[in-house]
Amino acid sequence: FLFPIKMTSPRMIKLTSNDDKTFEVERDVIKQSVTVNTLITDLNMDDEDVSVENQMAIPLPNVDAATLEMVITWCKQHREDPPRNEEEEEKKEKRTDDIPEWDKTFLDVEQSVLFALILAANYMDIKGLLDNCCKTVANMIKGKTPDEIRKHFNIKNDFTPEEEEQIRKENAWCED
Amino acid sequence: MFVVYYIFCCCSNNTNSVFQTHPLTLEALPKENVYRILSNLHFNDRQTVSKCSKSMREVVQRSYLWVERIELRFGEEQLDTVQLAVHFSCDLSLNRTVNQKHAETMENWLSEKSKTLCFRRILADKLHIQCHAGLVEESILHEVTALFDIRICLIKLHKRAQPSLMNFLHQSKRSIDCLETIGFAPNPKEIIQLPRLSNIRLDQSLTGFSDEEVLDIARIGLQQVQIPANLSHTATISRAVEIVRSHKPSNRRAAILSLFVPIPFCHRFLASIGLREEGGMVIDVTNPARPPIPTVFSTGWHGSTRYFLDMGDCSLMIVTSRGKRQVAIYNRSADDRPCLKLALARVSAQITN
Repeated sequence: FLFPIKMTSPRMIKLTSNDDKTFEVERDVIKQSVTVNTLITDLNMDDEDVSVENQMAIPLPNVDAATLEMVITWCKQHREDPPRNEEEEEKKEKRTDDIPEWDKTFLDVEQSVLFALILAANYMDIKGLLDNCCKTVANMIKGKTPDEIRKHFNIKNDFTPEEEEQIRKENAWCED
Repeated sequence: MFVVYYIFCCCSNNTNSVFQTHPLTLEALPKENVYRILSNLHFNDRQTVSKCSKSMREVVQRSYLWVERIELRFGEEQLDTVQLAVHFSCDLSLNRTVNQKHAETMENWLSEKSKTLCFRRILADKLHIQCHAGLVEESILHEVTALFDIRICLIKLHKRAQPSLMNFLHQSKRSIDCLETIGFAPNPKEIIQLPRLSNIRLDQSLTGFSDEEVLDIARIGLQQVQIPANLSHTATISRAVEIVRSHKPSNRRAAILSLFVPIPFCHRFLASIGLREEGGMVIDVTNPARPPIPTVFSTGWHGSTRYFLDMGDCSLMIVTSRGKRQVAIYNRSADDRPCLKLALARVSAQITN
């Protein structure tokens, strides 16, 4: 008798961005995305005996190609990272000076790109990337005055002078 | 498989429209992402962000952990230091973007502020003062409480802190919701001189009150009196109930007399008054038609868990001045409990009259 030999987990997964660009990414790399990982598991894609050419691509309609490429690059860089223990992460001291050097350089991009990465990381549920992006934005805010923050993030001041005065009064108790 | 895939695609296409275009500003990010960013910032930086625009102010305000209560702990060793223990609650919509570390950050900040006596208002509506041990300087108490423009919710008073704190209570013009004692029962005569005190809870670990002391406490006429009780008190309690009930409406502050029953005594105590505890519910043995009443467990001092039966709604022990409904329950449970017969008869008579 000949039994079909079941293949192990497919090594490559296809992802399609919202602008219809398809990426092939290693299964071990993309497992960092909880969203994609769950989908692969739910669809039993690991058990499928199909070549990558015939494989159905996973659509990521909320992520454009440029961002998805960056996400994949980040995932490749962090593929050896130990799995995150969310409970432990919650307990850890919250700091923003612990972004790895590689990530610092990688995330040194235009704000719109950084925000797109935040959205993508949030959507694809990649906690490590999301955390580091948010810390990067937080670092941009730290120590700045309201005017500097407005200028940096293109925020329009929509307070009236009366409202500003009111806020000043309300905050008086905690202002140094 | 295709169903899952289809759902995934559809859901993906229907998610927040913000995803459709790149946000150009921080303001355009979904709030949950902004919360996550803010969670990396300390209080001062968050405050700064809140001054940028109306929408940022709203997000920042929602990102704060709200202080649920503040405990001032007076240390045993360093009498002139005050430790702030800040208990936070937070907006549930924040989910995991807030954590214990933020609470600690806030706590550190508050501690720092309290040292320099800078802050005038605090995001809390309750202040708990806990004097563990040692002699607390009255001046410190006055100084610290002056900082808070909020009511004093609870003072836990340890035996060793008694003299100075009792003085403070006498002198303070603040009303105090509740006084809890640890390790001692204050002299009822002293308590009765505290006009701004509404409730008193006496140390649950003390079960050695004399009958006379229980009765004295009942006579004080506070809004709520919680006293430890065991089997030996059953008869006394009925008398206490009677006393509480007999306070004249004009000077009756006591609405409820509730009891703490230490676990070892609990079941026997309940049995003695015709009640049975089963699976977290109290069942009136003598009146099966009466719905079971949930019990409450609370953690007592000294790390022990004590059975706390809130008599407020269910038991023979309760006397309420708030109307006939609860008293009717009282009546329904009357039956044949000799230890309470006298009190019940009195209550019934009062209702009838």
